Amino acid sequence: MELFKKTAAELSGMLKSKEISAVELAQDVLARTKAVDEQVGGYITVTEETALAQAAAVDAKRAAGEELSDLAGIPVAIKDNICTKGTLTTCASKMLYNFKPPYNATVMDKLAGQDVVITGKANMDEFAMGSSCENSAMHPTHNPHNLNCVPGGSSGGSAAVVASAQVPLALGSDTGGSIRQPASFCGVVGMKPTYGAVSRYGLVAFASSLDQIGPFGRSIEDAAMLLDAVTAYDPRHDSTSVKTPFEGGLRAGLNADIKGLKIGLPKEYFGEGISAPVREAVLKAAETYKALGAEVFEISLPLSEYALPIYYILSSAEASSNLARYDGVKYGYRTPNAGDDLIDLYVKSRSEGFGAEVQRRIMLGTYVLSSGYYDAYYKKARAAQRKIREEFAGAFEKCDVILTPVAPTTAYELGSKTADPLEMYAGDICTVSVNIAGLPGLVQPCGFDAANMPIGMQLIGPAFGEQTLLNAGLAFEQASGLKNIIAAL
Amino acid sequence: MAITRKDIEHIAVLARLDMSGESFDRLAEDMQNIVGMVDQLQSLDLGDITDVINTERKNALREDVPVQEYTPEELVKPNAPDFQAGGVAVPRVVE
Repeated sequence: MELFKKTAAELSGMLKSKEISAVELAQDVLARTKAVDEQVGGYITVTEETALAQAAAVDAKRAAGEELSDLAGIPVAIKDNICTKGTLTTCASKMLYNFKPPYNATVMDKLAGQDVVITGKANMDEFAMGSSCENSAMHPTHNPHNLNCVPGGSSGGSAAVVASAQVPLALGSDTGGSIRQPASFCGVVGMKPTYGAVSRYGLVAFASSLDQIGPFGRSIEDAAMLLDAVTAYDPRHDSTSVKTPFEGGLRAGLNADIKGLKIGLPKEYFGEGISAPVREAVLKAAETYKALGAEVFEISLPLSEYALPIYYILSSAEASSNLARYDGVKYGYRTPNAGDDLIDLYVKSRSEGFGAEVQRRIMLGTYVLSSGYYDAYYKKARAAQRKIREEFAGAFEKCDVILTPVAPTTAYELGSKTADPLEMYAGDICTVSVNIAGLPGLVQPCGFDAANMPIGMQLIGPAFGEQTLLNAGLAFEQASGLKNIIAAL
Repeated sequence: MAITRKDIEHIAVLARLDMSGESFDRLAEDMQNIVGMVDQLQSLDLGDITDVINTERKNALREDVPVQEYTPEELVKPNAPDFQAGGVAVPRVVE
């Protein structure tokens, strides 16, 4: 029946009406994975056995007449930096090649409570550091729309398994664009929620003040469903968790009437660094919004020019501290080459266990926090972060949402940007400010380039403006028909 | 502020990374370029903003009640590289 081609919302209805069973659905998507993932490489671990058992349990509950959630029986893939009790959680690193968490991330407990079927753990850049998924220590992931191209990163596996219809939904994490940029490259919907909206407990830390878990789907409604399922105030485990005004109600609140919505186009995001096809597609989306009754006008966010240095200072500083815990002692990789010296054990385990990009970021982070450099780099970046927050706050006095490109280009060929770290970093220019300011960002497809590769657009909202973003996204999705795009494989 | 090779060697010691091998030249070049990029921040005039205190958030406090969800054995043993006598074994640290 090709159930794998359907959206989560459609499947949810079919499961509720008992037109299909959760086991049939799980078998269907797992068969799709067997057919295509050898080419795509989206998963690190496929949890076939537990997925089928979870599906059978859902069917039993439904047969017994239990009231079930909208996501009961829906297959979901999980980025491999989210802790899944008893299931490998590698962060695509040799450092955690054998790590099976003794506990679940809060989001995993939330999904289990809603009887979601977990299909496996998705590939990523090592420790979420990268923009192409090529920094995975396991294997690269290929863009389902063109297997010679990257899927984006760091949540490239999550985006690719959704785009190749191996699963309708996936969770990723976003520290500087790691949900939004791969969503754009793969032609799917991805959302980075407001900082604090989703508990980070059990998300392997990269940069704790910027990291946020969020959903991938092939429609706005699907992304809203998954975000509803994982949004939760978690005072016990995450001190930065906050109670959101929308807790669980985003899908129910969807409304495509956006007449009078004020949309700002920041001129700094449409400059020379942005390729013509991307710029044109996003500006065309702005025209669509005008036709739908929105008010669209230019705004300015001049500090955008400093976003990359601020981001790389803050995120690397936090990473150097967070990754200090990997020392070969308690868990993960331990070098077999250390003699009887403890420092040697630390140094060799870390140098052999971490890949090149992770080591570069640890080095940069250690440098900007070190004596003599702290004030000039870290402290200044934190102060500049405050300025960026203020600049966005000022913009949101004039407009309701901000529309921008997601990345300067569409997906590029594997290997084409791996030689120069700075070239890779430059691709994050449109996404990092959102993390620096702690805001929500929604990405969805808005067109294709001449090579038929997806182009995404980004809507940025004020803190906890998720409903406004999703409504604006839904309005565009309905007007453009760009929904449930499945790569031809 | 250019980062020197000597700086990089010092930072590697702090970061507990071995940068002495043949990849050092490549790393040094990358680090110099990356530090050059983050140095763009120096041209930003922040006026009198110097504090980094985040005033929007309040401390999240809870009662200081001990909770034991796992025993050390359950928590540590399955993932420890070398678990002996109820603890993680490491090379000798005292002479």
